[in-house]
Amino acid sequence: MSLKILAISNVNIAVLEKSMKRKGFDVVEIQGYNVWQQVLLDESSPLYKAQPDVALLLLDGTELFEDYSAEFEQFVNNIAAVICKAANAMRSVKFLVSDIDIIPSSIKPLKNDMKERVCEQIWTRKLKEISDKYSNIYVFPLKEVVESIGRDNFYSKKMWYLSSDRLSFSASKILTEKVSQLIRFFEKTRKKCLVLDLDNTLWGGLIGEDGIEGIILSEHKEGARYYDFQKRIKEIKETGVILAICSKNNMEEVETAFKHSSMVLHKNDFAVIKANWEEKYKNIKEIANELNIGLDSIVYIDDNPVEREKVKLQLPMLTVPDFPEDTENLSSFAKEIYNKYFYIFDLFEEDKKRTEMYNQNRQREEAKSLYNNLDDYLKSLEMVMKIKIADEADVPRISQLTQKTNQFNLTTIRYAENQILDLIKSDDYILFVGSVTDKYGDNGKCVLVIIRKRDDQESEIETFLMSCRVMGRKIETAMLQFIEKYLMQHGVKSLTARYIQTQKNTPVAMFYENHGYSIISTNENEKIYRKELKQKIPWQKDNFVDVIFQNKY
Amino acid sequence: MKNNDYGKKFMEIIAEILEIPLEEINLDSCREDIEQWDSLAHVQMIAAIDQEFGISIPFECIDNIKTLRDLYNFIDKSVKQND
Repeated sequence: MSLKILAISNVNIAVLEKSMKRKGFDVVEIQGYNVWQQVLLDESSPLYKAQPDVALLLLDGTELFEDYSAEFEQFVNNIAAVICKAANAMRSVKFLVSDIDIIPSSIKPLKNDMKERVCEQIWTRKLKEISDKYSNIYVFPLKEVVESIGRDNFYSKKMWYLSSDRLSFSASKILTEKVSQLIRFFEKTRKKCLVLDLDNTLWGGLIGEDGIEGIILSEHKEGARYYDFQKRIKEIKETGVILAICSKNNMEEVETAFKHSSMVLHKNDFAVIKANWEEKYKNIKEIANELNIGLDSIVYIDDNPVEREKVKLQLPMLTVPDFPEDTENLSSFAKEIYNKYFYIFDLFEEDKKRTEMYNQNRQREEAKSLYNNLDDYLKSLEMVMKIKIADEADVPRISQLTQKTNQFNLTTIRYAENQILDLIKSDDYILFVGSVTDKYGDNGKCVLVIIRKRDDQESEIETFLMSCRVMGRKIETAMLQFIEKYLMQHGVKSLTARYIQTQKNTPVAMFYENHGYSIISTNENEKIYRKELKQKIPWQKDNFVDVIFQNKY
Repeated sequence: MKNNDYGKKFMEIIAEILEIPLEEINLDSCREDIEQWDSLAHVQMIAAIDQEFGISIPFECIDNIKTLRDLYNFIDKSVKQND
């Protein structure tokens, strides 16, 4: 199904619309000229009626400046309020709002008020503010496109004087490409892990032969090609991508390389390091296993075309981009990799810390081997779970959890952000979120339970899920016991629950059986359970997780 | 760029704007026969040719362009001038 998009502008954008149609978008038409503010305001406008997947607000700064420069700040505040109102009324519509470019009038003294630049900044600041506030408002980087192709190429005087459309032929094409690239990412799941080769990839030369003195890596001149590349990789990591190394080298030599004074990436930036002489595809497979991710969520970068081909042949689901032929393009290559495979709209705390979390997990695994039995190990973790009743601030993360969690997910119901918001506001639902910390670190919000109240005495567990990074630590038991206790205290006498089988959630097929629930009916892929919540359940003393409830009982 | 390279680039731009396969147009194609050659496409073609070939088709000539050859002549003229 094609995506429905509605483009709003204060100038004519018929050419852009045409070019978006050609790209396969279902473009909602707006009748009339210069009706953009009404479209945002009026609840009977095409925007409200069609509720498109994406509303693109592309503003021509020069026109805005002509019309409103006298009271620009006032105008910006008003229009921001209008956008917020629309974004709030339609949470499922993603608003892509452009920043602005104002063509400065050149007929003025060199010393002047710089008002065009000031107005651009007023708009940018406001835009940032509202996009921080609303999870469905995003900044569309129009100014960046103007800057990269140049103003003279971006605008066409002929188009402007002939049809009130400012965009040149190439600008329309680039904008369409940019919009469709962004929109594709709304639909696509980003890759999770970037696996990197070392020699001639993160530095020039071979560490095993040239040694730490000999490899090409420096902050300036030739070595800066690799230095800059590493900086970009580090930025990619900071958007929540896991890094790993797969290199034909000896581990000792790799350790030496990390001591290089211009090395941007450090050993602990990588969740897994495979430096040995095994076939690369075997190492990559092991990386996937250790991180518990699919091969299809890995991107592999290697300068050697022979290695790339071998890996592709063995692991066809892997993404293996071509390495740039001219190494001066390494930094832009990294940007391209990010744009293509790792683009992200919004970053949660949980994303930023991903590699750290995997590193902590490795420490946990190492600690585990020191204990003879699981219980002693779990006790040693000193786990604390903070549980809270979800509020509006939790909406994006909750939706993300329901979208991404496959293994420990009893019903695998996916919820969009606006659906979660509705549930939070509803009196029939309570949503509990648990965040877990232990002595190795913070796992963030990783457990979610959605309870539907059927009546005063009966409730249903509609969703019970847990992020796979905290699986196997009996956290789920602590959560379920907490839920039962909470509901009992609120007069609930019986609790129903469901397990809906998917291809990935068989590890939790017996979850409810193991926690004292009895099956009341089964269908082909579904089991329905009930548990009577008696006043005197022999509460299993919870030995592993300290539960702290952040709301009032 | 050789003259026939200009011709190829010209046809590609026109085909893209008119959303017609390349093989269905030639220099004798005229405005009356091509449904997609509406006023928006007309303006778009002229602006694109201006930009892509670094020429400036005078405003006053715009209404006189009836065939692709009329349009191409502006490129041809500028190429010959530069030779």
